Amino acid sequence: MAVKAKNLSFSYGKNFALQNLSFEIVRGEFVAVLGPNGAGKTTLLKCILGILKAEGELEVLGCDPRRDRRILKRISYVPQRSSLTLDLPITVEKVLRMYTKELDWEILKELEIEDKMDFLFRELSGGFQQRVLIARALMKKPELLLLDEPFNGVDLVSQEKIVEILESTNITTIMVLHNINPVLHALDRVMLLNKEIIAFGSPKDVFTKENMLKLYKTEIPLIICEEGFIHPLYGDHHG
Amino acid sequence: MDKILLSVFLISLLVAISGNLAVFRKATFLIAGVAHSALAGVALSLLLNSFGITIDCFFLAFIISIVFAILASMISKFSDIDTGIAISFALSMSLAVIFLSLIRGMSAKVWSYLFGEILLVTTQDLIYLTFSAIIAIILFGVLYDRLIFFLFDPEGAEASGISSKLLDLILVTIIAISVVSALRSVGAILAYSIFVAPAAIAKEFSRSVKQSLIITFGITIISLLLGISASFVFPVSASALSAFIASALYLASFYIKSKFFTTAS
Repeated sequence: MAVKAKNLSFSYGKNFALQNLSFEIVRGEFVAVLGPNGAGKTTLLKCILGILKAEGELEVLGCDPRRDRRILKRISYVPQRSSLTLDLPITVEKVLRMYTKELDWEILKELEIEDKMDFLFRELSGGFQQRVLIARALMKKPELLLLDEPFNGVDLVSQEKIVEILESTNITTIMVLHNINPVLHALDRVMLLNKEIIAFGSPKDVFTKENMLKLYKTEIPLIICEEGFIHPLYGDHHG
Repeated sequence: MDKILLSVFLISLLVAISGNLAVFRKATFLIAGVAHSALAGVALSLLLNSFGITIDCFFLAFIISIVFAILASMISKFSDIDTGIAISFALSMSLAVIFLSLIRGMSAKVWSYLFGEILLVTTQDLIYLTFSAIIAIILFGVLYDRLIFFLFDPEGAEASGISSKLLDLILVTIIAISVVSALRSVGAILAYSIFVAPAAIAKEFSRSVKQSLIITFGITIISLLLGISASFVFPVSASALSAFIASALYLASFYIKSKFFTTAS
C-alpha cells in the first residue's frame, strides 16, 4: 500500500480543512485529487508529507510520515509554481540538482530540456519551468510522487509531454488539480474532495452530475469524448 | 583612514550577504525592522546604565533585534511578512521611545545609532563588524545550498526534510547581526537604503546568486567610498551621502535596464 488513511482530519485553528478522510492508494496507482478552492487538496498533500500533522491514522509507504521523517527520501513533491521565488537568478541545472546531485539525461531528453541547463529558470516559459520541476522530482527516483497543480499556466504541448512521462513511469502518483481534463485519460482513480471525500473511484464512476453538484455546489456539464471518457466541462479546453 | 576603509570593506561584505538574503526572501522591510529594533536595545542599554547596570549595547541591540525579527517571522505565519515586520517594528520603536523618555536628556549615543557616521568608526565598531562578518560568512557558506533551495522553493525544501523554521531563523540571525554591527556606521534610518538598494540592483543584472553577491559587494563599496569622498567636499554626513548614492544608483539601474537590457517576455 502506498497511502492508507483512516479518519484523517486536519484543521487550521477551529476551521476544518480535512474531515475524516478514509482511503487507500495502492502502489503504482495514478490518482488525481479534484476539488474547488479551499477544498483541502494541498493540505492533503502536506499531510501525506508529514509537514502538517493531521489527526487520525496515516501510513505512507509503510511508515507514519508524522514521526519518521526519513520517509521524505522516498517521496518527491512538485510544488505549485506560484510558491517559487522566480526573482532568484538560478540556472536550470542548479534547480535540477536540488533533489539529487546526479542528473538523469534520459529524463531530461524525454522532457526536452537537456539543452536548457545554462538557462536561468526565470527565463523559461511556464511550460518549461514545469517540465524542469517534474524532471527534478523524477530524478530523485521516488516511490511516491506528489504534484500540486502541475498544469497551472502550462501550455498544451507541455501538458501532454508531462502526462506522457508520468504515464510511462510506474511511480505511485497523486496529483492535485483544478482542471482534470489534460490528465483524465491516464488516471486510474479520481478523488473528489471538498474537506471530505465526496467520491473516490474510476473516472467513469466518479463523474456523475450528483457528485459534481455536491463538489462544486453548481451544475458542471459532463461530456463524453471520442474515446468514451467522461469529462467535466469547466468552460476551458477539452484535453 | 585605515579604520574607515576596513569598515567599508566589512560593511560591503555584510551587505552582499544580508542584502541578497533579504531581497530574495522578499523581506527587505526586515532590514528596517531590525535596524529600528536595535535602537530599542541601545536605549535599554542606556537606561540600565543610568541605574548602574552595565550591559554592552551591541549585545542588547543584537538580542532585541533577533527577538523582534523572530516575532515578525511568527506573525507572518498568520499574516504576511510585511505585516509581521510592521507590528514588531512599531512595538520595538515604541519601546525605544519609552526607554529614551525614561533617561534624562537625549543621549548622543542614540543619535549616533539613528543616523550613523562612518567617519567616526571606532576600534570597537571594527571588532563588532569583523565578528559579524565572520559569523555571516561561516553560516552563509556552510548553509549556502540549503539557503538557496529554501529561498527558491520553500515548500520543496520542506518536503525534502529541510527545516524551514530553522533556516528562516538562521537567515534572520545573519541579517540581524549584519545590520546591528553596521548601525554605528550607516545609522538605523539609512541602513535600509545601504543594505537593500545594491542587492536590488544586482538582482536585476545577475545570472547567478554568486554574481549577485559580487555585484552587490561592488556597488556597496562604490556607494560608501563615493559618499565618504563627497563628504570631504560637502559638509554633509558621509552615511547620508552614501545612502543617497546607493538609492540614486538603484533608480539609474532602472533606466539602464529598460534602455539596454530589454527582453521579450
